[in-house]
Amino acid sequence: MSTPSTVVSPLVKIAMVSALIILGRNSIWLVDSVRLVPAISGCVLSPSSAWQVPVVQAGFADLLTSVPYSLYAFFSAFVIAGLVRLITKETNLTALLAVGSLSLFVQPLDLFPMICLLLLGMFSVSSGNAQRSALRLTMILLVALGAILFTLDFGFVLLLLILTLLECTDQRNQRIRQVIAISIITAIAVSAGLSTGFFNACLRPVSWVWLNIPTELLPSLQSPLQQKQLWPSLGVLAAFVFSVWFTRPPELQGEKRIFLSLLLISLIGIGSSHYLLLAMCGLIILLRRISLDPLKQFNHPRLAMLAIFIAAGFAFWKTDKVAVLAGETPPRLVDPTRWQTEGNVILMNLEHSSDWQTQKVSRQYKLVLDDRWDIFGNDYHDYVEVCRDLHDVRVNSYLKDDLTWGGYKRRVEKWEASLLVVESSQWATIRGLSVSPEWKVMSIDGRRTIFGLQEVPSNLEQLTQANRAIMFLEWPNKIRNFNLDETIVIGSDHDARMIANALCAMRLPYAGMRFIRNDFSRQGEKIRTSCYLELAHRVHRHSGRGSLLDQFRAVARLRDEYARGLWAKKELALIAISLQGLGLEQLAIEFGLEPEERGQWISKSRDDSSEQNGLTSNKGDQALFRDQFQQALLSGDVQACEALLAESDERMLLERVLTKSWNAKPSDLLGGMSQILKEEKLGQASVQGEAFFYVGCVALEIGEFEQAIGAFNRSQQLAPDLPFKSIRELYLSQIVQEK
Amino acid sequence: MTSSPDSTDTFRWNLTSSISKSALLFLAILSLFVVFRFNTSDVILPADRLQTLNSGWADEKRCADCHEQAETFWETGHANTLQRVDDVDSKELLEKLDIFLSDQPSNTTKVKNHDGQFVASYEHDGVESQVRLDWCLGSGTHARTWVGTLMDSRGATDLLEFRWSWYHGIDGFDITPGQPLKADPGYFGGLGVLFDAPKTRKCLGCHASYLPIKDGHIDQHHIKPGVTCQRCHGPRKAHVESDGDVRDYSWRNLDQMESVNRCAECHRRAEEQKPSEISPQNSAITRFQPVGLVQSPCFKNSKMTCLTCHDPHLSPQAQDSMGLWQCLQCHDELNELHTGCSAGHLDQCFSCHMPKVKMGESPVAFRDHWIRIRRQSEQQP
Repeated sequence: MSTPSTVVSPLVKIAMVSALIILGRNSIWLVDSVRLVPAISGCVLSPSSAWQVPVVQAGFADLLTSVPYSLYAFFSAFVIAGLVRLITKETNLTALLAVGSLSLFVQPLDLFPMICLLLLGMFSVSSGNAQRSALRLTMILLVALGAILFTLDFGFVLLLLILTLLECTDQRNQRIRQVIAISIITAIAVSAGLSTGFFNACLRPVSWVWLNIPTELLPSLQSPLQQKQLWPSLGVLAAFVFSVWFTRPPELQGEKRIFLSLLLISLIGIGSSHYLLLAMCGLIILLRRISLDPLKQFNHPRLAMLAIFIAAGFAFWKTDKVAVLAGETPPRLVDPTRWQTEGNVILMNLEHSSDWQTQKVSRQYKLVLDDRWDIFGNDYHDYVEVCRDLHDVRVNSYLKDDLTWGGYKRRVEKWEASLLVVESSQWATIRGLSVSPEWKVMSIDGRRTIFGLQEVPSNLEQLTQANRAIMFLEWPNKIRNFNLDETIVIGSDHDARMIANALCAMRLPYAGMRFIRNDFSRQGEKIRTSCYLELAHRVHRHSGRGSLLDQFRAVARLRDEYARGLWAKKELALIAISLQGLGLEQLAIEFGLEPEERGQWISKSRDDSSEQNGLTSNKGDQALFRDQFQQALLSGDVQACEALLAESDERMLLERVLTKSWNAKPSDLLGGMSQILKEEKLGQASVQGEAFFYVGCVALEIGEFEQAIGAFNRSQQLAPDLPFKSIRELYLSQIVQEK
Repeated sequence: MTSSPDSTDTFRWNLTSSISKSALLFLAILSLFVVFRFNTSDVILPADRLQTLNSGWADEKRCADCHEQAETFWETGHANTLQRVDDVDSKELLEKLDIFLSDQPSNTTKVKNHDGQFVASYEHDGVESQVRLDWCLGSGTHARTWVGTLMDSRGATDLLEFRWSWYHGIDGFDITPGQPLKADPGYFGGLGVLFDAPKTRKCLGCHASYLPIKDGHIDQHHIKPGVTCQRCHGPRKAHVESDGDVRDYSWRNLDQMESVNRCAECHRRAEEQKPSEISPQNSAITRFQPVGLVQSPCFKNSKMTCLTCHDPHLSPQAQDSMGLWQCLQCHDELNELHTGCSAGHLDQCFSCHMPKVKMGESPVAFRDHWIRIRRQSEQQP
């Protein structure tokens, strides 16, 4: 006989596990707050018939728009525990697997739908007592009403309601329940004529299928099968469903309704990760009558627990995250309400619509459209075309293969948009827009890079601030007349990497490297290499020859990282083309350059290595040796350089320092090179001049602009006609700035 | 003794039985759905025609089998508006250019042929800048300009527009329109102007019929140079293979504005210029014929389009593009419904209403398509 303590304690235990997982997903749970009800969708393209969640529209939900994360975690944990209790009364492996899956994926906006589903599950158990049945039916209908009032996904709750009503096997109540179910369906159908907004909102759980919503706008509508991070949860879900299905009690063996219900809910969950959690809850509701615990059959439950522990440890070790279950620290965001501007906003990732729909932000900014596909479903195709045109910077009209016109200018003007928000991870889009004559960067943070239209007068102030801040990061100088907080904010290492990547994509590698100075994670190293590659291209383009410093560092690192498997295939394809642009076709082929790409960038017929000033200017016996060494440096071949150094009779001081530069700290590199130059042992003025140029570059890299100015000036004195003259002058013109 | 199967037996029974039909059906439906989701999750939207023309592309030599326009088309400016740098005409001009440049007082720029590669170089302050020239833009009706392509660090294609162009009007060379008379400082200053990847795409896109581009990187091996038949008429493979049975009238039933817009895709639309730039005093817009045309009373008060006066299948010389017949379609003095010239002239319409206007300091002049009664002061803008 169970006692209250044995009944309560499994629930509390499960709730504790759940709460810990939910809290662990947010490293700032102590101070963070969340929104439990969706915001009002007041976008530029919102029709007047759009359905809004009634409690929010009526202004009753202020408390629910900023709930402490810990409180949300507490309530969610108990709701999850309650759901799990519907299928198993004990704290066993089944319960833990279910709790783990649900807790890992619950989001704040899921809480109210989950509460509705839990209540539905609790009240839908048939009872022999007619009066109690009537009471339960009433409660069920109230739950449905609550779902309509508090959530956007009431359609899913109503679907579960109908399924549970129809599955009743109690003859006495069957007819009543069927009538109620049919009435609900009829009411929904009638609403299509009375309120299209309500009807569309009701169909949200399924309408994304035929609306064919571009997942680049709403990534959460992708199938979880396409998102590797969700595979473990899917695996748990599949194991749970199949194991329960195979061990269902004999009385349920012939039930086609159960089969169809499971199928429908599974399809919804597998079709879109947005509904995966609710689908799992729905499955639990539908399976609540099965109390068999198949996993008890395993003889070694502790072995299963150990396996889970090991898997979690492996995942922790293989990722850059600090803790697998402690998710990413939410990025700190630049606050656009501090800018003296306003206007309509084009958001490229609509999942972040809620950032722009708080009361504070919505006073100044209005989204063109948001993540409400029930309202904007038909507008998304047009919108995504504009986003793709923005990605490619296709300003003016061009004819498409269906004889309609592309080009973003006309539609952006029609929407009167003045801000464009791009994910900071979308480096290709950022890179393209950074050279747009119309869009300029307003801010960069760990989540988004915001561009503003230059022709909008109110944007000018922040555009100027941002330009000054970003240019200062690239070219530090005496003038500091900007406020960085309104342009760039960092919350975590991940934020810093995003910002560094964005700046590097904007062709500002020195600026980018300042944010990853002490970041030696895999991702940080890759970004640093990208920055060196950017520098290598910059020097190559503006001098016609490779930099023995930047090109060597870039290519040597690439070789090393390629051997370690750091780069994905798609990334390597771009790197290969990039290496070809530096004249390294052979290496590009090793990196996977496609055959049809080869030969396009045949190096110029003039041999750059032979007739230039600098390290190769030594005519005579050493010329060939220095040429070989230079080629080895330019192709990033560390082993070849070391072999050549070992063969050489001379001290080759600068070459020794350069050979070690690829994995040396910039400050150490600067120290080494400065020391050599101080000792004046390099010989020829041209060689010294080139060395001083490299010293200036490294000084710039670590922010020592005064030292950089000194080095560049000295380089100018010693080697006025250095091949790097143009870029040296460019660097000097940027960092020597007086008021 | 009857025994009810305990839970272990039930579990074993279900596991050991063959996979039930219902489970198979479940899996089958789920798999189909998954395949459906994977195939539909990426929305395929209409693409830039310039990137898709290559699929269903017909051999354009076949067009002349049935269409006499195709015989004359290859003499037009459109057909010859882009050539590889080593094409006959381009090579010849580059050789002349090198001679021209060597005769210049400062003698700082050279264009040399190194084993089939044309490399332009510029010496300044002891430093030599170089760029390989890859393409020649322009048919020569007005001018020809060379460009060199460069790779950026992410594989995208940038362009260098060479500083020197050849002009038909003077049968000689001068600074490329839009470039400064005095070379800018910097490595490329004396060689020309750098264009980033989006602008490169725009430039080459208006001189080609197929431009394979991915992530900003242009596959130059597969460019189809020139604005040829299928650039305007679309892929014609099905049409050719069916001996003309398959037809697709992409140019029929266009309204006036849409007809002009088809040409304006490259020749520029008025609505995409800054309003302040659309002014009779602004000579820079004369090279954008549709911009001026749509401002004209002639356009606004009639059904006039580019095709009213121009047959794109014929060269300007072949179609008498300077003839009176174009204006007489609407301004025939003998027709009482028509409006004639208030100054009493019966010919030489162009000289007053569509004069040629020079583009800044460059030798090239374009006929001003803003057809209007011009003030005396406008005759020489």
